Amino acid sequence: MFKRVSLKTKLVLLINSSLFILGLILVYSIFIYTKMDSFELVKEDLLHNTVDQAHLLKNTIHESIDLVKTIAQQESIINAIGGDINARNNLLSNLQEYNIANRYSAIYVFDINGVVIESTEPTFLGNNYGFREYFKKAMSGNLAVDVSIGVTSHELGYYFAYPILSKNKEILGVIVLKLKPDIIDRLISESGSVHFSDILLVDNYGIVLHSLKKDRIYTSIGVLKENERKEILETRRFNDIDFKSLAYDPALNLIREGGDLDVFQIFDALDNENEIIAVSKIDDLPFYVLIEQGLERAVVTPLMTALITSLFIVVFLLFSSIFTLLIIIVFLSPLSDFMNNIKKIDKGDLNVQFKVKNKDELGELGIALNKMIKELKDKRVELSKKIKQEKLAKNDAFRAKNRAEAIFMNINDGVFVIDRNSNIIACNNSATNMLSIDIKNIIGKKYDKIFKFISEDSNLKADFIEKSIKDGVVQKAKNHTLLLLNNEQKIPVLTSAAPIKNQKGEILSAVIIFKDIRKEYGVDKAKTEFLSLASHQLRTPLATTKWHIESLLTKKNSNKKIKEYLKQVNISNERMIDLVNALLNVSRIEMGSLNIKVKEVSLEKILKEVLDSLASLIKKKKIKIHKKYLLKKCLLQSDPKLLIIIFQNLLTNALKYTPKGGDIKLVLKVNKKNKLLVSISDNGYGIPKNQQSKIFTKLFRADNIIDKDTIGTGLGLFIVKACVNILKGKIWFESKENKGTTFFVELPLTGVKSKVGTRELI
Amino acid sequence: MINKKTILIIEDEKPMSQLLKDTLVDEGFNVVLAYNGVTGLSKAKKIKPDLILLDIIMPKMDGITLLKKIRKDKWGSKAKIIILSNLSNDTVIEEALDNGVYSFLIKSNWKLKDLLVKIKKNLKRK
Repeated sequence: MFKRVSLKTKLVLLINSSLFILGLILVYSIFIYTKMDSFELVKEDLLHNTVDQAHLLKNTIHESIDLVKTIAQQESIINAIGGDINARNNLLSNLQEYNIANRYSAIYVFDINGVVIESTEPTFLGNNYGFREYFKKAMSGNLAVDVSIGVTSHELGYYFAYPILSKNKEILGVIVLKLKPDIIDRLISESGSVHFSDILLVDNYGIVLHSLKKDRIYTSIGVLKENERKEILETRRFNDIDFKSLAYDPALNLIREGGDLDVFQIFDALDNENEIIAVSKIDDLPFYVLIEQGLERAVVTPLMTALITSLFIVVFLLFSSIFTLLIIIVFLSPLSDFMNNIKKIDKGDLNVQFKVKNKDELGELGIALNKMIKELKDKRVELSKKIKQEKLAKNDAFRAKNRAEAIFMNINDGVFVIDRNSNIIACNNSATNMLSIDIKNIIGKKYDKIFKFISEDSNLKADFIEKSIKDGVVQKAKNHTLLLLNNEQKIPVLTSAAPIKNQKGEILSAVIIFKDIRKEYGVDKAKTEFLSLASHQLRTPLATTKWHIESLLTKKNSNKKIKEYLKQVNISNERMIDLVNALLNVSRIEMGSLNIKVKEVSLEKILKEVLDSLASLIKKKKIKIHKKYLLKKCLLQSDPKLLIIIFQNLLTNALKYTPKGGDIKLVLKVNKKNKLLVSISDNGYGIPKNQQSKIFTKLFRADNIIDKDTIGTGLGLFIVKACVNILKGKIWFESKENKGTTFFVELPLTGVKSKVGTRELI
Repeated sequence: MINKKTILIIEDEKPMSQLLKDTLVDEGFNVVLAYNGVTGLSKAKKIKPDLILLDIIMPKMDGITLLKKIRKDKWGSKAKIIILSNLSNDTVIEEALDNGVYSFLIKSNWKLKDLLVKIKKNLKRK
């Protein structure tokens, strides 16, 4: 990861560092150049100064030269020396007049022998200075300029000597001016020598006559040669001074070689520094000005320059930084704005707007980015719409899947899916429930190990599933296909297999659906049995009637027989009527199209009515009826017609299946449940134990009573039970074969509602 | 009287069996009646009738059961039996025919006269 450095910082750093490097290079160049240049400059400068100094000195010296010449040519002087006494007397005062400003320590006149004949300095008088070089030179007719230590004064003096010539050019004497060294000193001091290490005045031997450093006076600028030493000694100018060398030998050599002007760089061993020394001859005089300058000084200037330059550069840098910063702020302010916006965008906030200030690149970028953001926003809206739609679709799909799964799992029919290899891949609850197995134990297993479909006819494995997979069409199993359960029970199923194909039409799997049709099967069987029994029951009296009539028609029989046969025909016919009525009642009950008319009825009355209708039968069979009514008023809300049917049937049965002289007990009471309880007990044949469960089913007749009475329809108790149910009651019985039977009918005292049906029971 | 053929009528419908008896006696047959399957079977084994008229729906033992039982008997396996019933259930008819019944007659579909012909024909059969 890179550390994030803002563009601003980068730019500032870049610009400033490049400026700094540039500045450094500049400073260095300046320094080098300045150093080199200044060195030359210093040298030149020094030389100029030296020349200037020499010039200055030359003027001063020339003043004295001019003065000495002037004096020498003065008629009064010439006359005085020539012997004019008058003039001679005035000579001193004359000479004194020339000592303007007291510049000269002495103005004096020699005779040709070298004796001082007149002097402003009285001590000179009478002394013979004929050994002096300046006297000798003047005597040879030339101007003499000399520096030497005074014999009397022991002070340094600048001597200007000039011959005094007669009118015929004979040398009469010599006039000498002794210039005070102060004048020179002052001159040199005044000329601003502070800039320099030292300003020297030397003679033509290199002897230092003047220096800012007093100890240098009377030293030699270089090492003197022996002959030079001797010469100097011979002139007796400096007494016996042993000249020390300043080791400015190159300068001394220049003087020796008669050079005018030069500048040297030397190492001053005494000062222990590099120095520049400029030498200049003062006019054609035997003096030289020598200016000494430490090299440091020369370097100081360029260093200063460089320093100042650096300072400038630093300041410049400072300003440039500020300037750069300003520029950056001005130019990059949109960028930081951009950055903030982009950060926002990065976080998903698209509600940003790039400010477009200028029509520069950044402005264009801003416009482009704004456009992009707008497109992005639109896209996002579109996308979220799509996502929403997809989510909805997904939800729909999910719901549809759930729905399909729920349907699959909870459909009442057994459903399972197998792959091409007959392995079970899915199975619903109904299927597993039917087999009482756990779904975990069957997934992945061969289906025929779990679901054993067999054909009822052949008792072999049903092959409709294999056929369906093979042929790729829906295969319904034949009727009477059985499913073998784990407990070896076989249940009839209605089943079919459908292939599941992919888009290419290849069969991937098959779905098998099967339905437990035990109920339907039972209903079907019952229907068949009912039909067959009903037809049998109907045919029986019909056949009897038919054959009796056929017999009657043969006329072979006696009257008695005919009467008997006709009676039989009548009985059969009555049976037919009863049977048809009962069947009609059954069908009405089963169709639920019964009229129920509820009103307040007295059960007592109803029972009386029924018993009255059965009176002949009771009488015939000599049956005793015992009534035990434990109610004061036996009123209830019910349908009287249904009540009559119930008790008529029950009492008829009791009468029919009780031998002659038997007893029938009728009890009426309200039981603990506050319901009306009617019990009809007989001491008849009873119902065999093994057949008691079938007693209320249609067309059932117990074995023991078919023997005794062949006429029964087998529908009576079925109808009774149906009627009791309609009246919200309950019916049950207790029976022992050959001991008797008691039927109990429990009825609610209230609560049966009328129902308008289309039919009434007959 | 030696040549008189005996016919056993196993039939629970008394008027019907009485009428058949009257008719067959008139035709010169010896007629024995049984009103349920159990007595029917025992009578059949006892008297070994030349022909049995057998009803299906009967108390105590139904005709088909009786038929199956009689066929297990040495004599009974070859006994001539005519089913005389009002039941027209295919499976029952099939079962009866499987057990060597010559005729399965639906009572209400047959005239007495035709029944007699059928009985006589059956008795002549060896």
